[in-house]
Amino acid sequence: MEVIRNNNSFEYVSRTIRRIIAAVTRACPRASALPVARGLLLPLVLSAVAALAWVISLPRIPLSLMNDLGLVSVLPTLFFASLFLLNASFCLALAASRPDRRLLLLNLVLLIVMLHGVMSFLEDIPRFGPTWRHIGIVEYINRTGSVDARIDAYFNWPGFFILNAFVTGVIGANLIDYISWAPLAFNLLYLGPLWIIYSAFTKDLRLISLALWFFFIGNWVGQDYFSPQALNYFFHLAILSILLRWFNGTPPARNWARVGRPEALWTRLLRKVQSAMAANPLKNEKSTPFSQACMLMVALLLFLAMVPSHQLTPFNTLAAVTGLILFNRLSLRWLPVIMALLIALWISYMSVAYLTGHIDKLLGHVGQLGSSLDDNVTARLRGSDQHIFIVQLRLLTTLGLWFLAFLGVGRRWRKGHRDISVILLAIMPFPLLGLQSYGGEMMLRIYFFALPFTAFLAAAFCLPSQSMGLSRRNTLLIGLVALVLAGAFLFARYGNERMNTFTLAELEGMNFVYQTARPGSLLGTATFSLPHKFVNYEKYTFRKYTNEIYALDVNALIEQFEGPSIPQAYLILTRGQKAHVEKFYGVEPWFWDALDSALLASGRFEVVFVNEDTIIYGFTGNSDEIVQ
Amino acid sequence: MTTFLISSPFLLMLSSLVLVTLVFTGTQGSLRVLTGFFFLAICPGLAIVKPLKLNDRVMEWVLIPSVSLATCTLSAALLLYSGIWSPKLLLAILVSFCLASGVYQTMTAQLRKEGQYDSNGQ
Repeated sequence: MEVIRNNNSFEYVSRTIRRIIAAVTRACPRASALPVARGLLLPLVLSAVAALAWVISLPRIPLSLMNDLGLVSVLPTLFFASLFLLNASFCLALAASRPDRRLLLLNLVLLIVMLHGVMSFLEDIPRFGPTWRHIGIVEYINRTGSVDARIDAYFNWPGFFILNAFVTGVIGANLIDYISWAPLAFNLLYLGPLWIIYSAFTKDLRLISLALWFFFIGNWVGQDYFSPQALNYFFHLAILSILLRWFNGTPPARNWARVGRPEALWTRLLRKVQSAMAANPLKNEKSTPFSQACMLMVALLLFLAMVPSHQLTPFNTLAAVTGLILFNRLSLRWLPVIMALLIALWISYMSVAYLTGHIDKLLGHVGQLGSSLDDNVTARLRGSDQHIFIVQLRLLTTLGLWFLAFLGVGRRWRKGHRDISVILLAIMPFPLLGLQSYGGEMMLRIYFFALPFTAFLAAAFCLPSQSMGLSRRNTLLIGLVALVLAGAFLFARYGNERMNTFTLAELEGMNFVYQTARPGSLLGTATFSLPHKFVNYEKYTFRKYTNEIYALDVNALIEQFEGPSIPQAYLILTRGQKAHVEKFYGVEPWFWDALDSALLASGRFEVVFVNEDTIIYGFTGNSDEIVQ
Repeated sequence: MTTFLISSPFLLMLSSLVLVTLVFTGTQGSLRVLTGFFFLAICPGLAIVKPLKLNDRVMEWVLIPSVSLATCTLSAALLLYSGIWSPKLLLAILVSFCLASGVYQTMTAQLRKEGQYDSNGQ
């Protein structure tokens, strides 16, 4: 009797709840469209709590206490908890029987803000030395209304800087106040084209969302600061999204492989590979000739903007498009020819002033894969123990993601998905390593260029097929992989923050130099980890003397600073530079006292400015007196 | 009326006129910064992409900022290499282009409403 009464009360309660829901749905017809109404309340609450915890954690991050592990060394527990909660929310949203697009998108935006926007909220002034150089080039263009291709390579690919000179003129404010937000803005911009690209590969919303998640937690290379490469990466992704959406598929004319006569063995092999690939061609978007023509014009417009803006990214776009054409993934066979022509025209006419003086530097590495690898990998494995740990973690994260991608290829292939375009786009950046070491950064760039596609394949490994839902085991696996990657991201991305972030005191020191040093002065530094060259770009010579300083060789410094053509010379040492030398050369903090003593004992250096983060030595004995 | 207020031609024309007023009167401040960033990142793209009638809202909003930034980059570079560098002149050119596109979009929308224009813009 008790049981029957309990059952009745249970039915009564459930009936009442159903009535309430029905009444609410009637009263608000769009209520059923809300994620809450579909049982996604928990992920939504978790996301909100994660965002709140993240915001609360921000004021508790003391940047000045960082060690060589970078930002991680000062992050409070609440920050990690917020990331854990967001990750859990995303996994739950992914595991829902019908994943909600808006909830997944919300989580992705929150992830971008929390991971890529954290420093924008924390830093006093923009981080990273090259950012300040870029500000200086914008200032030069605004001041002179021209570009001088003889100054350095930046002035030979000045599109990005010209754009920002125009932006400065329009907004009527100093860019320094806004460019700290560049990483956040660029990553938010990447979201759109990546969504389109992944949608061209699959209709599985789970796979698209997880690939995006892996992209943003795998993007540790930090190329999204205020820089030409960040903008060009956006253009590159937008071009790929157009091509994969509108022009995927085999060209209607004769097969590329049949062009060569007589038919060679490799031609027959290529045709066999092509026929195997044709087993599962990518879906063609319904498009009219008019829309295709318009999209082609838009793609060319974007490429036209890339060519004068960056020296490397157009080559990567060219490689990607060529790869897709060679394997019959695109119908525009003549597009690589036009792209190559545009690049060649720019190099031949607009950057010839720079190339004539630097041809050895640019072509010296062609084919020297060994030395490029040495510059990109081996040379970085040195410095303090914590720095070596960071570098090893970066290598491990990279190899781990590539390994997951490799497994993803196998898993998708077994299920009948021939992701030829994805594989091609993941592989095509690698030949760039044979062309240049790019100042030891080529491997980073290759990782960045391949990342959208390795992230897609890694996500494909973690997910079962589209028809199946997510089991609890799968959800746990995804959560675990995402957590490990997010943890590694914090080390890998922000591992250099001690030397990359600058303080107002360091900027004050540099402002002193610019106010007192005469144009033509030599400004010596230990490294370029300081805000420099942001005004009068062409008027001062900046040189770094890392080896002389590391060896405490003051006589070598004096030799470099002396000369009739140098009216004044200064040696600038800042907190960021000291962090750089300690991190990469493993010197102890006492080293700076020893250097100070040696410089002053020489009688040729005197302190002209000092604050808590900067010390500036004036070099005596040159033609002009040093101002104190 | 409400549809017009949130439509792209209205946004184009409003932001163009507000920005041009702020810049040419020499007004400084947050409003100019916000309008400036919005105009440069969105409006030229909106003026080019919307008339293409892609029927794909996601693709449109992916293309709008990229086309905007590319247009600004190319037109600024063209002016600089021509030796007539002037951000105000360039802004005037872009604003004129956006206003023209805004008027064109409003007219085609009106004609379509009256049944004189088919979906392909013929």
